Amino acid sequence: MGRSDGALLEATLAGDEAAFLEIYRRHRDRIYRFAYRMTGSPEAAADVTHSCFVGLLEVPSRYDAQRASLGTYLCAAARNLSLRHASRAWRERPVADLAERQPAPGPSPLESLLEDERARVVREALATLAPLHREVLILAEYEDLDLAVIALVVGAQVGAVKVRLHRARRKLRATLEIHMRSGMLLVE
Amino acid sequence: MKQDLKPIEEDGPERDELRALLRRWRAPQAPPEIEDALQREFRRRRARRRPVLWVPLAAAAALIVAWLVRPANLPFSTTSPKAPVVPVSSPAPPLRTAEPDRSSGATPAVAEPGRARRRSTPWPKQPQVVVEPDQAALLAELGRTLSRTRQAIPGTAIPQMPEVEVPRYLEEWQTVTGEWPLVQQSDAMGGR
Repeated sequence: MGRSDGALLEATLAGDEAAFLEIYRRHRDRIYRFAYRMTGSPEAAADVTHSCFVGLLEVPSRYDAQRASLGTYLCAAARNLSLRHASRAWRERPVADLAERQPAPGPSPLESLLEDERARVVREALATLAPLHREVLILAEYEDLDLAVIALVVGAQVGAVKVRLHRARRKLRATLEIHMRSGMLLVE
Repeated sequence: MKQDLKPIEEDGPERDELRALLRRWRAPQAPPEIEDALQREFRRRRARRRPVLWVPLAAAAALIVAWLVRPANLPFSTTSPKAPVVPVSSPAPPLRTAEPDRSSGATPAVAEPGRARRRSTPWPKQPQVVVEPDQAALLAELGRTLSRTRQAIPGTAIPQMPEVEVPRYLEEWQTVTGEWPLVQQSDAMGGR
């Protein structure tokens, strides 16, 4: 069993590069995924992820182990950084030029095309949500965090998170309803 | 379970359906360039931080070395007793910088201004008597006169007062009644 996050952070502050990289490898996927879904851009997600871990090096005293785990703290930092990108994206609505970089998982070109199209529809539907609604939906549905942890990440009360999550789901369902009726987003 | 953590009932089956739809949007893996950039950033910060750590250590080591190799007969040596603090209001003792004591080799040839008040010999433990310059001369003259007198008449001592019996009327007093302020008189006088 590896060292705890607290021990790794202490070693990092003492100049242990391997400890810092271990922290990064533990938390990079969640941070990057969250930032990617918040900003809708792989470049912005990479920027957010990088800034998030550099911030841990710059001001390590901001992290309080008594309040939350290191993963939650990093997620909160990624949330704050993502909101800067997302707020600009929310105003400008650049959803049309978002490009999906991942290879399609489908075996055939037609299936790949359909999967890409479904992903695009979901991504655009998420982009229509307000950032405060989008973040709680991403944390709850994609990262499977419970309400208490989401409240810590977004800096709100659990009740407020619950309300935001409910409104986000309702809005998203209304947005996707047209595609669901057309049969494009049929759930297997 | 806390009230706030209870799932929303209306999100039951619809939530599962929505979640299945959301899962169609997959996020890519974090690119390896981030790790490389963070590694470079970490090394850059560590290299920049190293001199900051070594500067106070080097300064402390230099101070220790300077303290260890100092001349043993310096007036601020730790073996010499600590000079007492002279109050600012009292006149400072005369400094002997103009005429250094040649008999003791510990005194430097040229007294430095900052070290002039430090002495290698302990201060006298008697209380310091502050007098005017004329008074000091008078006291010195008085001392010399007394010394000469004692040398001229050996065995001179302060004459003792003869013991005298106290009269009885001084021991027995009583208050005179009817007088204000209170008046006391001796029994011998009252009995007259």
